[in-house]
Amino acid sequence: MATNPSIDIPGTAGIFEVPKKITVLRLRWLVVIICSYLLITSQGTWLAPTSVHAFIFVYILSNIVLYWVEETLFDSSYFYSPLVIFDTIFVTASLVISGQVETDFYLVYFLIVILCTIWQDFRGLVVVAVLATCLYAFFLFRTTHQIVDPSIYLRIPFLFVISLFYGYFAQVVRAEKALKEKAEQEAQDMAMIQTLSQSLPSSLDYRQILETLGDKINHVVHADKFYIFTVDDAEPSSRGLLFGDEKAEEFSGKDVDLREYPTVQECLLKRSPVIQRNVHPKQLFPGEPAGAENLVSPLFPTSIGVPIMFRGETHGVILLGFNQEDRLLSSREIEFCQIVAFATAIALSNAKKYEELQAEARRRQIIAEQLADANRLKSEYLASTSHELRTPIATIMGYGHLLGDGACGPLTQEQKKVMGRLMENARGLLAIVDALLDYSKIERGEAALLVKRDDVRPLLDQLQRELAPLENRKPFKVKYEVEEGVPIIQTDWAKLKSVLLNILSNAIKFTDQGEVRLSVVNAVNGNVSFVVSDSGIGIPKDLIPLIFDKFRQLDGSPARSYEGTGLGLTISKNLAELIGGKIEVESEVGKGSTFKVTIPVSTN
Amino acid sequence: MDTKKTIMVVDDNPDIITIVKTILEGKGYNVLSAYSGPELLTCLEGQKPDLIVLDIMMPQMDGLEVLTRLKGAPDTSSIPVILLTAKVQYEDVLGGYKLGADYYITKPFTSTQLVNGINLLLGEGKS
Repeated sequence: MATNPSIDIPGTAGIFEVPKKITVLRLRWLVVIICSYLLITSQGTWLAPTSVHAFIFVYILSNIVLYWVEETLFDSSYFYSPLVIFDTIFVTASLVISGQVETDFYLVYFLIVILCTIWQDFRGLVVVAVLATCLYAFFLFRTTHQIVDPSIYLRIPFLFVISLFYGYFAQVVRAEKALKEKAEQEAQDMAMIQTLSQSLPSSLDYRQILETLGDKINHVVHADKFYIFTVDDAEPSSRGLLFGDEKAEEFSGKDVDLREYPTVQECLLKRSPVIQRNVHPKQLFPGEPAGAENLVSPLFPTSIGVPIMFRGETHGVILLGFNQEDRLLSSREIEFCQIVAFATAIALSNAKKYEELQAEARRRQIIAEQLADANRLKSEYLASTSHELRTPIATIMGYGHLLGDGACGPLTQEQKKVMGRLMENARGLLAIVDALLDYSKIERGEAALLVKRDDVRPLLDQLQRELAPLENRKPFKVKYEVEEGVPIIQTDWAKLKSVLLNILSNAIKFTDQGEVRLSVVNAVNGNVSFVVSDSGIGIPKDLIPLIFDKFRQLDGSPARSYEGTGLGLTISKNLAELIGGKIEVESEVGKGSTFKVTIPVSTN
Repeated sequence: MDTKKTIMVVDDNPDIITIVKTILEGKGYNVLSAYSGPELLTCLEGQKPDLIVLDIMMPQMDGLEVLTRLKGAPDTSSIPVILLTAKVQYEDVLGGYKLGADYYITKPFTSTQLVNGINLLLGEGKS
């Protein structure tokens, strides 16, 4: 009691602004004085004067003793109820001893005082007190002719006031206590709900949620046994997991048949709290009473089941068992259980979703790993194949050189021409093998950058030299232009060269007349663009996005006849990206294509 | 040239040996051959060539392993080694030089490449 001084109870101020102890003592002094006066001045007393004096002395002493009593005791009904009874008896005794009025009517007042300690309604008390006074006065006046002593009339207001004071006092203390208890309980509930709403949804672990739940709910409701049933997704009406509060055992889920638990079953059906009484295991397991006793069976004289529901989905049931046969569950307790169940439902629903997401993530990761594995194997295969292929090509070209150099005797003009074609094809084959290797290398992310600052001119010279054999079979030469003010560039020149070489050789391959031109121009943001334009066959609009795909060459008769792995543009695109650049394509069928390679002036 | 210089070619592919042999004998070198690393190491016990042309991808013993052994042994460490290999990537070349190779030629190769490399290492002018 009175442990929480911060709680303010309205309506109990007023007369109780003075500490209760002082109020009681002052009131009692009044009673003591008046009673003493009545006893001393009474004429018809049938008690010896010494006894009367002793009586008065005890009464005065009792009030003095009260000064040493603790203030807090006056809040306790165990203290003030006996006090009220003692005073009632004392006042009664005083009146009886003075013996001037029919004692019966005093009993009415005693009744009021006693009533006051039990009754809650002060207005009712006033009505009864007024009624009693009127009755008392009526009887007094009826016997007026016998009464001469005016002190008789003094008793009316005196008794009236006393009964009211005692009653009021008792009631206020009682009301205050009730209010305080309620407020404390509510504060406790709120705190509990708050910690619950914080701790439950923050956890994504099923078991942890249920443990927290068990802890919280038991703190308020104090059940003898506490169980949670979670329903099985596949068979929500029959199968589920049972989590018990077995202290010795672990809080672990046990596979159960929900139909064996009538409270749970009813709860799942009604989707609202269910209270059942006096369900005994023997009623449910008539065939095996011995075994039923040993079952972890939530069957209790009183049990309450609360469904764990969220968005119309029932996740399970909270079941509380009480050994007490007629345990009354207050609406507050049931309400609390429901709030807890709701918070649990949200938490469980989150946990379930989280589990699903995790499973999905795991599944995806496995697929991703498998894909990465397959891709890595493919890249490794490409790399080793291209290495393996280089040796026979080296042999072919080595013998070719020997023949061509006349190491095996002089060749005729015709033989030399055939040798030339042979060597050219061997070089073509080598280019394909190199493309495969480059591709696998980029795929494996192994391509390292070799950055160097340089002018673009040496690059153009190299390109011109390397493309010369291709140009020889065409009626045009590639034109090279550099715009005024193109700066020194810091980039990986070997990679830039293979990009341009690839695009240019394509341009030459796919152009039969007209021209192929490479212009180096300044672009926005300090970038430099290498624009390769040709007057070749062109690319249909809808196919432009596809030309960078692996192993794809455009269908259609002329393209089919052009050699290549189809890897060229894919690699070019990857290489351009490696050096921080990009490739843009514009084309019109029959008119030609423009490939624009834009790179930053500086790459790290 | 008064005395013929001896060059040892190591490759598991007989065709490559034939080609290298033809080119180098044409240039007036005495050419010996071995088909594997262990075979080379056995040969070296008897005779020290002036230069070794070594393949990398070989069964039994990897060319780089052979190179490491050659450069690690005091009596063979001074013999120049040319790696002649199908391993063409930048890291391969760098790795070869790091292990002590004196020259690196990628397959396919031309006679000029090979002769230039040898001339460079043996300090001879064009013959």
